[in-house]
This record gives sequence, C-alpha cells and structure tokens, in this order.
Amino acid sequence: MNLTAVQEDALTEVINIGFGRAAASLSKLTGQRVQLEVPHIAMCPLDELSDRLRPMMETLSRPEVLIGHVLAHEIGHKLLRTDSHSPTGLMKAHWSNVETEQMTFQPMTFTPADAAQIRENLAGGCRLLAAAAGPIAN
Amino acid sequence: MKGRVLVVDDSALSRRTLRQILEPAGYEVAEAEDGLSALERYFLDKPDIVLLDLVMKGMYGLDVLTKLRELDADAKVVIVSADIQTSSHELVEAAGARAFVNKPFDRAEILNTLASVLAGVAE
Repeated sequence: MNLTAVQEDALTEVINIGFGRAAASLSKLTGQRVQLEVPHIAMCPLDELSDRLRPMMETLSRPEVLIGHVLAHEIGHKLLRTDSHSPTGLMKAHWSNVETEQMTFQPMTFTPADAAQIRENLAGGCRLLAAAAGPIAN
Repeated sequence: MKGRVLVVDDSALSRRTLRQILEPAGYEVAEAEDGLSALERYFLDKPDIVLLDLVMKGMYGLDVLTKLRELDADAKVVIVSADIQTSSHELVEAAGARAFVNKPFDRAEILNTLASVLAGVAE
C-alpha cells in the first residue's frame, strides 16, 4: 500500500504533533532540550519492520528503557489523578543522568506512598463501578 | 482586508488549514513551504504578520525567525508549532517572536492571537 502525497503530509503532521507532546514530556522529566526533526513516513510490510528500525535504535543507548519509564510516569499521573510529582522514584519531576543510566539495570518504581495512593484510587473506582452496576443477579 | 499574512509551514495540510481560517476572516494569505522561500516572500510581499512553524525540513523555524528579525527588526512573527517544550517557547521569545500558538490549534486561538499581535497587545 502506498500513501498519496496528501495522506503522507497529513500523517506526518499528526505524528509531528505526537512527537511534540512526547518531547515536551521527555524534556520536562530529564531537564534536557529535545531537538525535534520532521518525521519520515514510510510504509513497509510488518515482517520487514524490525530490519528497518534496527539502524536507528542502534544509535541510541537503550532508548526503549527511557521511553518505557516516561510512559509509566505519564500513566502514573492518570492513576494518581494529579499533575504533581514526588521527590523520588518514577513520579519524580526530573531524572538525573545517573538515574537515567541506572534505570537500564534497575527499573524505577513508584514510592510506597504513590503505590498506596494508586491502590486506593483503583479500589475506589471499583467500588463506584460495582455500585453503578447494582447487585449481581443469580 | 484585515491584513496580509505569510504562512510558513512545510506541511501543506497546515498551510491549507490556516488559509481556510484566515481568508474567511478577512486576511490576505501568502504561503511558503520552507525557510528560504519564506525569507524571499517576506521581502517581496512585506506581509503584516508571519505565522511560522518551527520544525521544518531544511532551515529550522528558529533560524528563519532570527534571520527575519535581523533583516527587519519590526517583523511581527507568531510561532505555530508542535514543539511545545518550555525551552522552545523561551528561545523564540528571546529571538523576538510576538506569540506562540501550540499545534493542534483552533480557529479562535489563531484569530485572537493574530488580532492581538496586529493591535500591539501581545508585544
């Protein structure tokens, strides 16, 4: 399947906006500026994808680890229902270079207080859902 | 006619969307798809205001802004970009941009920002 010029342009712009959001989150967490470039869009069969991506991934030191932590951090905000940060751990506002390196070997975790808050929020949500659903008929 | 606007963006979709917002609101629109064309168009058309993307192929938007302001210290430039990092806002503000609109934008945001900058409110 080939994209038309209009489709490619629209997809590039949508991905560009997504990258912009991701870069802003990454920049906020690491305290570093992220230099954005225009994304390159290409269609390829699924079984060729890993070969096409490998050269890009090899230029970075475990980027998937950092991206995974950023995603977990953002999901953490949703689960904690707050935009505020913790002094340590996964929900820290800025990760130092040392912490970024360490996460490759030892994944960061929520602080005990954050973890307890997430459990409480989830339990509260389950209670509300159960109440809304009403009694289960046998 | 409310004013002449130069839209600088490498995305045809963005340029078309901005044109569709600006023309019915009474603005005259010219387009440039890269930094060099933008500089050329600016000095040919002398627009009242420039809407400038940051992340573009070739010349980066910040370089276009710096060049425009070097050549015309009064150039009114509004950044319209997906690069929403705080540091990017600070950089373009220091380089003389009058305002920043984050992508994706909406019609009211674009028109209000344009009206404010042209009226001198956002300066």
